[in-house]
Amino acid sequence: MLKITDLEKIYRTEDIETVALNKLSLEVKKGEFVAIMGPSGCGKSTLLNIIGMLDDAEKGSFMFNGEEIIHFNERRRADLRKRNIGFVFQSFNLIDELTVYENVELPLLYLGVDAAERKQKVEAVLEKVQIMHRRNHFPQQLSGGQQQRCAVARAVVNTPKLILADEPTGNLDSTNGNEVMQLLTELNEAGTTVIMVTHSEHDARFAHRIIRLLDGKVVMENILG
Amino acid sequence: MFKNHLKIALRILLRNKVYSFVNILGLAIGVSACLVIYLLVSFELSFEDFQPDRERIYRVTSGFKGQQGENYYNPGLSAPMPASLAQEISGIEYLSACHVWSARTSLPNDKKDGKNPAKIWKNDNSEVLVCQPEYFKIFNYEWLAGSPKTALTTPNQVVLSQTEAEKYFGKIPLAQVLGKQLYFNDSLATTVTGVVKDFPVNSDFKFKNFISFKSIEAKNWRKEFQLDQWTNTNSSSMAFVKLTQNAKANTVNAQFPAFLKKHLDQKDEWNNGRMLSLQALSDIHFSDTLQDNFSRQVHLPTLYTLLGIAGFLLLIAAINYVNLSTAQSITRVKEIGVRKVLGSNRKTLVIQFLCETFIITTLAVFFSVLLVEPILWIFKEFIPKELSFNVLSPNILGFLGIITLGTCVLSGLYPAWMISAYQPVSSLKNQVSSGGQTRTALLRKALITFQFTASQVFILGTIIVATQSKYMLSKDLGFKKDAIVNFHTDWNDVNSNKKNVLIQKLKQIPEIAIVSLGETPARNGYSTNRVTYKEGEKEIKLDVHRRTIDENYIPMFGIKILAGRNITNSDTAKEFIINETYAKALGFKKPEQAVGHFLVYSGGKGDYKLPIVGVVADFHLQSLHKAIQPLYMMSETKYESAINVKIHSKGQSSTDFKTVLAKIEKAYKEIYPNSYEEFSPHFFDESIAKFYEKEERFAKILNTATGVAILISCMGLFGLVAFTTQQRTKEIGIRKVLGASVMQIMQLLSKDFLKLVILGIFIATPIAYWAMNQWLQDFAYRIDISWWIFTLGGIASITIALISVSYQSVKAALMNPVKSLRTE
Repeated sequence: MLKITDLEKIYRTEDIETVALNKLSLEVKKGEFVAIMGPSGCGKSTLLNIIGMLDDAEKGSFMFNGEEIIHFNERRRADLRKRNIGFVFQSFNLIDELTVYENVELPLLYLGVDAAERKQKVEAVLEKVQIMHRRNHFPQQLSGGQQQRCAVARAVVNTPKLILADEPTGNLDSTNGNEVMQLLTELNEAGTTVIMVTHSEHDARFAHRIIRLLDGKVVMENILG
Repeated sequence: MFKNHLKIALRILLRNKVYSFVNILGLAIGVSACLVIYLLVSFELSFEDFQPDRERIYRVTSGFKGQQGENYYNPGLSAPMPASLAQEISGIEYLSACHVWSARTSLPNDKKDGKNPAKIWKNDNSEVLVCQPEYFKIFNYEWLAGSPKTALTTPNQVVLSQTEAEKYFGKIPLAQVLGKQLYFNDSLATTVTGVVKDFPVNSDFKFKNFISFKSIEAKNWRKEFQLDQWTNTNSSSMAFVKLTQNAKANTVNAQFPAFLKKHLDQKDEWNNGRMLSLQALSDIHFSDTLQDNFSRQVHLPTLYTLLGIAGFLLLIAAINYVNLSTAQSITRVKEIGVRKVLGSNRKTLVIQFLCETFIITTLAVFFSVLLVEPILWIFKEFIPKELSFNVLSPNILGFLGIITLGTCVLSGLYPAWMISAYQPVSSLKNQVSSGGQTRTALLRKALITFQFTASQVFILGTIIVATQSKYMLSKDLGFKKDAIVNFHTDWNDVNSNKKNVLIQKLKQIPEIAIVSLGETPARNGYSTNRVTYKEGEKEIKLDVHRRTIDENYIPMFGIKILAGRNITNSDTAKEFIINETYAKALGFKKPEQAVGHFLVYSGGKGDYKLPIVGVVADFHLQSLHKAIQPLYMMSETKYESAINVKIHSKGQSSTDFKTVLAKIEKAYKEIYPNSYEEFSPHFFDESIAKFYEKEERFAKILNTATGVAILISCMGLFGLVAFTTQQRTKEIGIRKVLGASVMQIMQLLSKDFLKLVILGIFIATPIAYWAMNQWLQDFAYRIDISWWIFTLGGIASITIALISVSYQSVKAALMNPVKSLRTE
């Protein structure tokens, strides 16, 4: 699905250079569930942003579905992103002014899907994450778990090939956290590739493989049974 | 505590530089507009208010009933009237006959001394006044030398104002000025018997030479000043009165009809329509109907319009403040929560926020004071030159104080009240929603709509005024106006043959195509004559406009002859040419039917009955404010002094014009070497453009007001969009992650504001339509307000709003979502 070779990313401020990714290489196969772990500042989020095509790297290669995309411009990256990748964030990142239904509908709107198909897809996915009954509520009226389920629904509504989850349970209690992890596992079992950044060993065990980062490098890989 | 407030307020201002800048600049522009308009309006309204007993001072003015039910008014009265009025009308304490005289002044010793060129001062109308000693009892002058008791009691005396005395005699002790000799128009010798202090600048009475009325009672002067003419009314011949303590203007007015009946020949039907009435001193500066030749009239409705504009601009600027500060307050909920938890009550918070407003307003007022002089300079052509700006004068300081406090309360109270209302718990939890249909958001929308409604009314007004101006300057007036120069021959020489010699000379200049005698086809002012058409039972008496012309006149101005023939040159009137309107008024359906009929008009020596030899197509006789009236033209070259010169169409660059003008001037000087009149040629098209000076000034005021309104509104919009995009950074990031394009983000951010702008356009349309329709009623010939004006105005508004929104929205749309979302 994606292959990263010798990726480098450096953040510069006026007098400090921070190496976020240091010649990092990584491969993720189609249908895999990968957890990325490591201490704060090890480059987890940077890596996820680059994989999510939200950020670009200085050097290295990034093959996505067999295509080199490291030199893609913003517009082409955005286009590739909205067709292939769904995002789940720690802080949910739902839009406060939109209802649950409207939040989930948003990616389809940007893909130009027609109204009838949108309705059908959104309702299907809301059923799946079991918040159909709250479809007309605003995010602030929901519990944390419900919000994250809504965010997951939004991430998968356009059936992306890859889901990127950035500490999806970080803001949730264990019951709600488990529900969300269950949801991600089901999606993975249905064929979606999942890459998840997490601090939680518990959550990481849901994955097939754990990649551990330190100082912008992969230091260890655990393959789970 | 207060110091603490100020410190916090200053910090907040510095932290939010964009909002502070927008707020201060917007308010400064609004306040300076207010300040300049206040200066102007208060100056104009203060005219003559220094005059003691001003409510008892009046001018006796004349009126005439016109034929078509229209009345004409004249600020003067027949010269013999004042003497009789003083004796016969009760309720008058003092009366002075006055004559405005545009006489030259010269010093006698200069004339004798062959070495020095004669020192001559040309005075304009507002400088020389012939008056009776009572004038100084009506108007209160401060005497610096001489005595009001004796100063103007005998012939050949003159009283000077202080500046005038210094102009003639230099800076010598004023007592030494007494007894000096002065000549007026070389022939009236006077002795200075008094010096008075000049009136302050806020007076129309700028007279500086006061000649004793007894001087003009001598035989030769009597005739020149028409002192025995009961039938003529000249605006230069006036009477001022001071009523007795208990007298009412009404009771004095009531005596005038009987007075006129007694003195005027009732057999002359013209006299039946004559009226006299008192005009209050305070009305002279503002009168629409009584235009004299010394005062400067101000259009009172214009002043009120200006006041309205000032109020609107200030309001729009205050709205910016309300909008920005209520929007911005979201970012301060936490601070408010903390303050409340720590024991602050709502009152203290309101005071704190008002402190911030106060600082902003004070800074704005400070900058607006700096802007006043540049603004006065930009508008110098229609701001009276006497008007000066002195920040430290008590009036201005008072006004600035009121403006500062007023603006502070107007723009600060609501935000302060609203912000301080946040509940501490939800404030601390940051649970105050920034969007949604809260009351404040609704208010903000209403205010933006209001701003853009006001701007749109201004925009539409500007377009309509510009369209009407263009129409007036480009409309086919029925005659040609390009490359034609007019000037007058020396007034003192009108009847001599000299002008014919000049015409011959001009004809020899190769660049000149045609020369013609006669007042220009369209001109300011008018003169009409009573003309009678009588055939059988039918008798039509009309006041008819007239032009004296020569045979070159009609070809030169390209006026179309519809029937009959051109006029033939003649020293005294022999035949008439009339216009189509007159022909129709006389009942002729076709122009050719009028030819051959006779008209009777009264000239200096009885009635003349002359034939109509031609009918011309209508052309405009006055500005387009006035409809075309009946007109007759005749050749009476003996009395005509206006010369028109048409320059050949080839080589009409401005330098060519200059050389031709120089040649004309040379010829003029050769014929009139001693002329006191300055040779002042005018291009005819420029004279026509001058008809519309008032409109041009109005257009300039409107353009500026529009510019300022748009600028302030757009600054507000800019600030608000900056704020919203900041508020919505995260949302924009999410949307980008989910696949929104830059265009989609821009649409998202602009849409909400554009809706309000469009709503404003719709509200403004009927208001502007109504207001401009009122304005257009002033013109007999006017444009139709058509749909394209509103379309154009709407597009302009939307474009301007889009531009002010786009910078921020593009910036927001291009933002890297990674940065926007990195908040955890």
